[in-house]
Amino acid sequence: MNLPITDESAEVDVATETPEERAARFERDALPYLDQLYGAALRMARNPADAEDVVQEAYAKAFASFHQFKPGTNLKAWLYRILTNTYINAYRKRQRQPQESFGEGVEDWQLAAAEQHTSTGLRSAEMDALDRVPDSAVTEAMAQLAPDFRMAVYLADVEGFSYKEIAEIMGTPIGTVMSRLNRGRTQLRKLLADHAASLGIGMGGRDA
Amino acid sequence: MREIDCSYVEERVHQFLDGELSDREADVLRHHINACAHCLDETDLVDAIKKLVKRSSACPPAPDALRLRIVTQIQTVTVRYEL
Repeated sequence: MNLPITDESAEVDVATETPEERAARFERDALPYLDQLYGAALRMARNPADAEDVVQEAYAKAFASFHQFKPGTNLKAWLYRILTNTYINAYRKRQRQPQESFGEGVEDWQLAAAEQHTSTGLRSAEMDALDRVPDSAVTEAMAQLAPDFRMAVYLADVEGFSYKEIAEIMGTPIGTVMSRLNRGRTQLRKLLADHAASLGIGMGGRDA
Repeated sequence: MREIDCSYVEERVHQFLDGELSDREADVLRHHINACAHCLDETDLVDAIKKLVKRSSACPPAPDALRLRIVTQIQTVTVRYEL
């Protein structure tokens, strides 16, 4: 009879583990995600100092509730969920962030207008312009999105999480994930079009 | 193949590119997109945005000081349990 091969972490008995064993298991299993979580935090938080704070707090919380994590389930998504919640709580604490203009409150007509604006020019021109957009402009545009939109786009496009995983991480229904992705990317497209136009590259801009 | 219109594609283009549609549904979209210049361009653009985000999001590794703080934190908490 063939027994399924189980990895070490799936065999752990959380109830009888000593604190040292748990700490060692946490270091072994959770710490390898540090670079990725830091990268995500950098994108959410906009500055390295805040990103470090968020990551450190998230790791502290994760360690404190590590006995509740079910070994063998999706540790990466679990850590991202804690990171996301930590970030959202920290963000809500300081409500004074006036630059968050592109919020959930964007009207459909604004999006439609944005779409109209970008679709008036030559399509291939828009693609050409996108090709020439520097990474720094994309990072800036990402930073202008509302945090929920930015996170959904980041989790999907950079981390490659499925909608179901993003829904778990962000604690929302899949339908909300879909609308955040859709609107987040649409806003990015508009912001990048504006950026290109300001450089005279023109995505359906002045020279179209 | 089931016939669909452009608005049907528009509503699902993100799911399509994110690999969230069933194979069958994705085929229906592909069939339309391949024959429709408008939808092809739109799909291309959304795909380009996705790729730009990925390309531009290469991040530096976490600073050593942060790693050290986290490890110290874990060990401190563990020692405190013992006392």
